[in-house]
Amino acid sequence: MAKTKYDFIKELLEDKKINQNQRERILELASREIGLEGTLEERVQKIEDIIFNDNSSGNTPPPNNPPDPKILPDYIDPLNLYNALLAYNQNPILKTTCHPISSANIEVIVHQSGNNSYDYKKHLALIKLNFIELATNEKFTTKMYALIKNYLTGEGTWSSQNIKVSWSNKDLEEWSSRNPNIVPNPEDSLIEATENEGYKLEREFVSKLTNKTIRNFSELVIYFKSLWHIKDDNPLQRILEKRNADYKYEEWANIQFINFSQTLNLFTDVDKLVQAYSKIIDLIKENSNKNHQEILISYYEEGSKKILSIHQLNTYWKKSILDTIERPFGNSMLPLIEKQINGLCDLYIRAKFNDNQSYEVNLWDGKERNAKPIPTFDGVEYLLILKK
Amino acid sequence: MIYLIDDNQKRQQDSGWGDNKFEQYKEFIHPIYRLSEVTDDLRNELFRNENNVILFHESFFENFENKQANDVNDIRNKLEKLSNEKSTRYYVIFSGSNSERKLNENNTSASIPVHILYNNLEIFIKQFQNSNEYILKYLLYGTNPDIEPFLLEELNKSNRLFIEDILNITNEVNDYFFFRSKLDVNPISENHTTIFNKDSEFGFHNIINNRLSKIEYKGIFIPLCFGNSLSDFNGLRLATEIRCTNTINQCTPIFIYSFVRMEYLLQNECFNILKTKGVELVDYGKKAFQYAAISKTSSLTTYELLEEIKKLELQPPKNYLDNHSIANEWAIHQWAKTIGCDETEELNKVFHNVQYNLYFKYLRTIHPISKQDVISATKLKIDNKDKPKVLLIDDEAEKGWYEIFAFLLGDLNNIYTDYLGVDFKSLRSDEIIEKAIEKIFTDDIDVVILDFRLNPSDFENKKSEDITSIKLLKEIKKRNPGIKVIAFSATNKVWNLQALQEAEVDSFIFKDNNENIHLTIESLILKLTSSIKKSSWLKPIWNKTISVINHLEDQRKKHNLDKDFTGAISTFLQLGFDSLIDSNKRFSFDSAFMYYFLILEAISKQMINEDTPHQVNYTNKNGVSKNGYKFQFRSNYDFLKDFEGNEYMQVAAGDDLISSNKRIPYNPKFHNLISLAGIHDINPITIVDLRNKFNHPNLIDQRVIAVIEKDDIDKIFEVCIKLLKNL
Repeated sequence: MAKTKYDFIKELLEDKKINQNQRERILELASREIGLEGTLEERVQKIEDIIFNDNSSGNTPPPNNPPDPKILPDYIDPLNLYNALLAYNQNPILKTTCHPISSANIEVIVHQSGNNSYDYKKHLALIKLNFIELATNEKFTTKMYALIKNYLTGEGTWSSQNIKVSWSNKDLEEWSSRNPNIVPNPEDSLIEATENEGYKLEREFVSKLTNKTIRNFSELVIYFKSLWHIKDDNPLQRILEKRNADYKYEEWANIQFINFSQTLNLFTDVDKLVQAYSKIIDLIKENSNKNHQEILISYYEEGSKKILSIHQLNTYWKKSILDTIERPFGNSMLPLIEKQINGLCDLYIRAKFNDNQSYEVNLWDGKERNAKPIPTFDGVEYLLILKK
Repeated sequence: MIYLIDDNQKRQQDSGWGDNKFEQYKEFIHPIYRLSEVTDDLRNELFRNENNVILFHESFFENFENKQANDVNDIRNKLEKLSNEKSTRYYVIFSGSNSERKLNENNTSASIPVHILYNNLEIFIKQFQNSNEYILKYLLYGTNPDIEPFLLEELNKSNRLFIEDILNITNEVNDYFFFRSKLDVNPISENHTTIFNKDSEFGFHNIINNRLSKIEYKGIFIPLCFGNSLSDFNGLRLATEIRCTNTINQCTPIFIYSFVRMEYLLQNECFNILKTKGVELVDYGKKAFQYAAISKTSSLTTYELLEEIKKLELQPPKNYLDNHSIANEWAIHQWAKTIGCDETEELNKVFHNVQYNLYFKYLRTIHPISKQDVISATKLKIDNKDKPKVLLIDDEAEKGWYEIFAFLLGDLNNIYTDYLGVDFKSLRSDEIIEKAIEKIFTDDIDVVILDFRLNPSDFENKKSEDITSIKLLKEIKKRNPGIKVIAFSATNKVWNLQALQEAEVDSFIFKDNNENIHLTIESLILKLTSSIKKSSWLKPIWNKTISVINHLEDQRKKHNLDKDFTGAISTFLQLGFDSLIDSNKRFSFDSAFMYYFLILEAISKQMINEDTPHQVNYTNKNGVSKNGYKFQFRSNYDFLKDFEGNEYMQVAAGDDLISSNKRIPYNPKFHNLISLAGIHDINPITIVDLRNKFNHPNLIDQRVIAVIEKDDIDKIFEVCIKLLKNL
């Protein structure tokens, strides 16, 4: 939800003139807007958390205090996340939780569960078992692990839209007993063969990533996958454009997408990547003294790396090269590294420094930082290097 | 070539792409299931040749038999790059986890959901067949790629607004029934059903009968778009189907909910349903639903239904070969129902089509057949005492017409009925004629019921005289004009009827299928009765006529007979028969009789020498001695005999006939002729008497002209034939 909407809801809730009924009505509407699920009390609590306490979405500029010396986190190789998600996507059982299920998938499930026909409970048990095994062998990031675990087990909400419905939903289980041998997320050919759309969501919602309506479990599994798979029909540019519009970046910056591949496939934490993008845009704003900014966004492939570049033109890197290498992260950058970048991607910059020299610096890649001189460069380019 | 790289054969079968379909399109599409199938040559073909389409399933390399050392995403990206290098190299990735259809700017690469690919693959191939160019948008969006993306986006927008609208209308729509597409939001009423791409006739019929036959609803909500293609606007079709299907909700108000304006629907074949009372186009939104529900639109009355359905002006379905087939099926149905012909296995297909096909439902609604409309079996009786044989020649015989005639003639009237069972489509026109003639004359058919267009070539623009049935008709009539031919066709073109008439068709029955069907069937019964009667009489007359003409010709060749004589006899025989053929006309028997009488006269001249009689002296009955004449047969020189008991004889009784002058009266002349021919059961006096009364009527006293009957013709013809055979 756009920042201004939060402000508006906050103002409304703080207004002494509204009565309890009106207050509940506002919260009800707000919860719909945010896409929260659960009882009214739970939703109220979450909205209040979001509005009054939580700044995790990075929409509030960080205070302009001098940097505290902090201990940097241990470097997490982004390749781990890619490999873990790739393994998830290729696991014949877990694959059925991120794709609509075909008749061929059912044969695999039935075979592995030792049954004669499809059984939801046995399928769920297989899913959990396979995920535990996979999580033991692969290195998911904590956030991605939590996301998948909650999606599969329903132990908590998942995604930035705080979805509560999961593979272990009570309502889904009841639906399965009413619809024996029917998978909750059938592929279209199965839908037509069985004339059953699978499990319909009690509450439909609109994906904030894709702007599509999510009405049933088949759409939900695709939504789940859209959270960690950038591809042709879930292109990064569209996601970032939506972010720009939601956060009204265009009010102070001219953001152009140049050399931006629409088809490069990548397994990653899409939410985190978008948050990292937002944080960097916020940094640009913070350093821009509210002047209008020119920003170029690119997404391209370089060898085995896929690079998301955020290039602020007509500026320079405000630290000295020495400072950058020795104390690169102040209060603004450190949370970006801790909460978004580490484990998601490596971070480089290419910039003109205040001594009019241009360098490329590996700010965060698990290696010793160094500055590589480059030809004269205009502005500051943040390179989010996604590995595979 | 289209290379379909998908490891999952079962998925293809589930989506309607089984072995048969791949075989059907093998010139255009090559499926690849395993990496091992990709030989070096195929690899070269795949990656180097232009004008190829690669359809690649995202998970192909995840199959354990297709595992790759390389990152699969790298391979995909390489394919993508290759497609971008050349404008005639196409690459499409498809996957179950794809929820969108995307096409790159060059129109060379795309990504689509798996079911969309298999739904549209046939359309894509057919489009290539037509244009020899791969146009990926057909694979993405089906037959109407220019409008489909817009519709998808509008639907998605409407769904979002619907979900975000907090208005609760559950109570207002309680007594209404909702059809929904699986692309719509989840149901808002307990009374609902989802339409799973049931855009087939059978699907529509079943869903209406299953869901709308038990409870009468206040109204029915229908999505404008459902099925594989939104731009088909199947909601209009469903509403039309509901109006044309006999359920308790046939007249219930219908609200078609739409996310596009009416102007998009103008070209739809079922658009006219929106012009009828009780059908409204409403917005796809809760407020519009609420408004429709509280508007209390009333149901149609039965009378209004008929009037409103007439406004539909539905056109015949395009999936039929031609209008001829449609009219035929409809006529078969109407005829079968009207004559009370039970549904037999052979009629099943027609009855099935008429039951399920919208166009036929529409016709049934505006031309209903009630129980009172069935013609009773007693009214369908035909005299069969002559044991006639009837042959149906109709390219649609096996579609139901033979069943109808087998019921009407065979079951109800015990008349032998058969049909020409040849492949009318593959045989040439002349081959059909040959087979038909063979059957007619081998089986000794009396009446032929002949369809007008028998061969695909007859549907082309050709002259009426070149139509197979016209040529066949001429051939039948040439060989035996006594065989009766009833033209039986749906054609109502004057020039066709004229051509039939010129080819001497005996009568014409229109394959009527609407309001005049009663009259048509009753007329058929009359015409069949008359044709059977005439044919059983005339056909043998013609056979004898031809036989005797041939005999005379033989005799002429042997120099036994004079050319002028045989020529005159043949002419009289033909004229006599021609007169009989026209027996619908008054006095046709008269002319025939007189021609046959002329034959008798000619025979007598040929056989009896009247030119040089023998003069003799004799005593008459009064005892007076007189001079008279005796006459000889030319063949054996015997003198003509005197037959006793003949009051018209003006000669004395005796062994030989003696005439008072050089002429012989008809009676003794014919008596002698008949006797010579060995005919003993016919009294020539009756023939002569009739001729005299006809030629010299006593108009002063009696004021009547003698009436010549069929029996008289039989008699004189028999005499003629026997005499001629003796020549």
